[in-house]
Amino acid sequence: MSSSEHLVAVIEDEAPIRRFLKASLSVEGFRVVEATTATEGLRIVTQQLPALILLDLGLPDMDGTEVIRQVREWSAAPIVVISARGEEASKIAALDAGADDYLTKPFGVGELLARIRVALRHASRRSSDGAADPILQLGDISIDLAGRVVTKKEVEIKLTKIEFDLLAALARNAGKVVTHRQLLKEVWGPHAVHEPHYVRVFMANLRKKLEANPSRPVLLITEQGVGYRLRE
Amino acid sequence: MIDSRPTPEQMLHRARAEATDTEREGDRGRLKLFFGYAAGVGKTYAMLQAARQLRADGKDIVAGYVEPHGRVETESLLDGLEQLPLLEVPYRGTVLHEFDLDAALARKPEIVLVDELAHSNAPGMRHVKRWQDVEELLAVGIDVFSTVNVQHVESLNDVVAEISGVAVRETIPDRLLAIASDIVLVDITPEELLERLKQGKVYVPQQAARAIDRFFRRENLVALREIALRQTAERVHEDVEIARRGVAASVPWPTNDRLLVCVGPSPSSAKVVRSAKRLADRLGAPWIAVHVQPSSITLDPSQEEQIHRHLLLAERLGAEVAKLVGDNISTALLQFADRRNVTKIVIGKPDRPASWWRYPSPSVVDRLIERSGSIDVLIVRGVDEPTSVPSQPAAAYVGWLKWLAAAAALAVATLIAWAFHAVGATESTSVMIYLLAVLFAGRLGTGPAIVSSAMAVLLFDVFFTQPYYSITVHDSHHLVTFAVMLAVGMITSTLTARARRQADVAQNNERRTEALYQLTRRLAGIIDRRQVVEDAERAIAEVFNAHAIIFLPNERGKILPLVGDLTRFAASASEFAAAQWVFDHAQAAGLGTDTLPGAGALYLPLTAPSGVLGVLAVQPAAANGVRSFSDRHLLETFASHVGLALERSQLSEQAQKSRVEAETEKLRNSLLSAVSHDIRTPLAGIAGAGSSLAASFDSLDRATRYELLATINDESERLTQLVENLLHMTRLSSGKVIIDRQWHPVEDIIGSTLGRMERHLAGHLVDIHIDETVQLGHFDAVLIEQMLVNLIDNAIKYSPSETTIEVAAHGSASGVELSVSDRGKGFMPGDERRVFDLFYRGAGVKSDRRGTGIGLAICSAIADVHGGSIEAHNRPEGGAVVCAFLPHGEKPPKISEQALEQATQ
Repeated sequence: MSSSEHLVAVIEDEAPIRRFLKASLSVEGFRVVEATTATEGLRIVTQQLPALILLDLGLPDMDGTEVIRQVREWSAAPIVVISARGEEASKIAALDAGADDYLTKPFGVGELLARIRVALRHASRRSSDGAADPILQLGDISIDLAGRVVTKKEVEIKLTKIEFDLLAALARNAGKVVTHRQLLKEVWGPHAVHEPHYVRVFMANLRKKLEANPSRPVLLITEQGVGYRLRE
Repeated sequence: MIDSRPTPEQMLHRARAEATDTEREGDRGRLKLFFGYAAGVGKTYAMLQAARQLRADGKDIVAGYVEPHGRVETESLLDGLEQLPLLEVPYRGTVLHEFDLDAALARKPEIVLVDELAHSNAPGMRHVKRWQDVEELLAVGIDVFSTVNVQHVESLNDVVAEISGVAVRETIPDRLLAIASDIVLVDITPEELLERLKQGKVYVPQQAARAIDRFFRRENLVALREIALRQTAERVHEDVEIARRGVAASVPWPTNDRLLVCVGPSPSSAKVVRSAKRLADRLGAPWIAVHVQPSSITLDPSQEEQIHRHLLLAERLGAEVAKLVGDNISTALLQFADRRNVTKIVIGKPDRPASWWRYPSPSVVDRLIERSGSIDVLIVRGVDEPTSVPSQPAAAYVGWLKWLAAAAALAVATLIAWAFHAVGATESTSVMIYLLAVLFAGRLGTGPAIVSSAMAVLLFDVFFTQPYYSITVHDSHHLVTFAVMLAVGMITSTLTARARRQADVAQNNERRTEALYQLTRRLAGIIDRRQVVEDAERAIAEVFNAHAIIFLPNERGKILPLVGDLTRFAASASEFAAAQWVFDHAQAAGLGTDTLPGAGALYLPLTAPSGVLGVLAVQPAAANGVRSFSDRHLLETFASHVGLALERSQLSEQAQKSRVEAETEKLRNSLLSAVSHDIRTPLAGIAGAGSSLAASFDSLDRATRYELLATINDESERLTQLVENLLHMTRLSSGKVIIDRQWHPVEDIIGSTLGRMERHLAGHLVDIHIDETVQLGHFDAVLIEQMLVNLIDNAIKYSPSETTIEVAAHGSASGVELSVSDRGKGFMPGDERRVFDLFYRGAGVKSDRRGTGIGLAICSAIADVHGGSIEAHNRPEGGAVVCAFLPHGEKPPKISEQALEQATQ
């Protein structure tokens, strides 16, 4: 996929970060439009319809979650939020409000580009009718979402229903972080959102079945305090 | 202590005020007294003239109260002066006109005229005396002009009464003369005054009309004039002294002498007290009024009341008062005198021989003189003063009951003896039975004891000696029996009576001492304000048989009860106002005092060195409950203890606050020093590398460029780590961190930590041991991850590469233990505990590897907020290990996977 046609909106009040983002993204072929406040950001998003939005949560004039909510009222453009460590609660709020992913300050260029690519790919898959790609191949593990079959090195791995649903929820968002709340809602239903340890226990089981070394997972990654990510 | 002589401060104040007449000084108002020797000399006239003069000069002056003289000259002077409306107080069918203190306070002029300083206010007003109103005006900074006659001055009161033969009951304390910044003597000759009297120009209050003829005699007036002149002259002399010594010079007072005056129930004691006051004044000496309560004597309530009055008088005149208890009056006095370095003892000449049983030591004065040693003993003549002691019907009734009981005992004894006699018992049996009755009477008091002894002899004579039913005695040996019987009866009964009284006194004292001790002991251990208040209220309620409420001020200085049962307390607005007044003025008021005597409770300020901290309200359950002098003093002692306890609790709250502040401050300072060094170092690296890249990008070879870029990268990562740790530290130590404890699989947290540290771990091998039993831990995952990051980071820093770092988890029913160990050199001996101190850096570490001294401190803080512990030690096989124990904060959840699976099938 070529980056050249993608317009990225950077909503960030810190000039050095904007400079670094613009430089890194331009090199990668993205076009960049900048805004320093939430109000200005909302305006350029409305006028220029960017393919992706990089949003700093600590804007001076509006709460980041509120910006996401306003964008989500009419746009499905992926939003990647930028925030500092120790602000897990605001990250979760942003993700639950409709943000696609997050970056923790400070972050490197590699991480930034990886997040942007994943978000763009999910967006394009969404727009071209999500049914595509029913079989996900991650290293020696393949996940057949339609057939509900998981194999490791060509050997089928027996998963319980919950384990499979959990893995499927992560696989559909492969590369993206999924919050505890989103997983609970998707797997156990809306009544279970107050029992986050369910997810943790089943995730531990999944790791035992899928990971070579469950103590040092490479596939099912914990985003501490936020949720999980299936690494592609 | 209140002293009629001005204190140096008062004098300085006065001197300054006089030096700069136009400049107002300090907060207090100034008192100008128009002083005369009798009514009719023209004090009010002089005051009004002065007022008019000042008004013409543009002063804000208001007439608060001017005695209605009904004379045209005086009233015409009032024209053009603003007059405050008078308060109309209905009293026994008439209406009294009184000075309206609150109106004056609300109007707050520069100067208020308040005539007749010695006037007693109508019942129901805030203060009993007008001079108290004036003091309140002065306290808020209003100047007062007032008038007073010489006979109203407390210490001169009796002298004047002696000369004129008219006792004046309205007096002002001498200290008012002392605090007055100006005293204007208004003087005319006695002849002129008598002439004015004849012309009807002298205003005489109605109640004194009868005394007028005795009072306005020429020789009287001459003597009074002399006293007034002398008093003024003394005052002028003092002022001259101050002027001579210079305003700023401190004023030394002769304080070598110390007087002690003995006070008793005799009405003449008042005269003795006044004499002592004058003597003390002349000597410039402090003085103490003392009453000795012999333990062998019970005073009846009227006598107690007298002593109370005399001590109050002494207190008003500026004495320190004390009550002593002792068997021997002279010994107790001399011991006290010795202790207090008294140089002179003033005692009244016994004006009538005391009954021998009331004063077992017949001549206290003689023994005092005999044993006084270096102390001078001054004997002054006492003169009885008319007193108005209310009769005590209750006490009289009790008196009757005593006699009745004694008579009954004798009657019973007679009957029993008669019965024995009838069956042939000897006379000595009857004697014994009568002695028993006399012993019983002894318990009722000395009087019944003695009379019973005599009666017993008489009855024995009549009924049991021949001839029967006659007083005559035939057998002479019976006379001996009578004598012995009388002697034995009297001695035993008086001894019994005395022992009983001693026991009563001792018990009473014991009870109070015990109560005070208990309160002190209980309050000593309490820091919590509320607890102090509750305990004090309970203790006072028990000891004084009263309802006790403690009022404490809120932030705006408004007094409110903290706890306490208000339903049992007359909690009206006026009672609250009384409490507020006491708080604002730091003076006792209410029941039994001269201020707001109509209130339902006695209000005492709870004072401590730092000021008034609250108000104690005591509402006696029984009438007259708190009025007795010793009770009042005991209450004041309680109040001061409570005040101190409250202050202590306040101070400890402040100390706690400042300790937290100090710690925050210390942390802030440490952070600053950490910031200044540990942040600068990586910044220097970044700035250096960045600037050399910018300056000479083209001339640098490719490898060097990458090297510089790597430096920037590494250093910024180091900086990131540091900032994160600092943030964690400040958040944790601020005490405001809210930890989000949830159940996490321990493996998950270890895995995510290792994932985050992947890059740093490149040179080391990692071994993970997780007990099969460990499943879930109860913790804040973000914090524990940070803890593990710090521990593993240390392990990486302090152990050679290619060695193994072990991360282990052990479980128990109560919690999870996480440990990180390395194969480095381990901790320096003695460092195992100190490594957790903030900014402590291990000794002997190569400087390029030195940490910031924050990492382990954070680990310790994180373990702390989880209610856990952390410790460091060296492994026997070499290397360091740090273990953190994290207890479960709640019961582990039951996780039945099957159930969860089935629920969603």
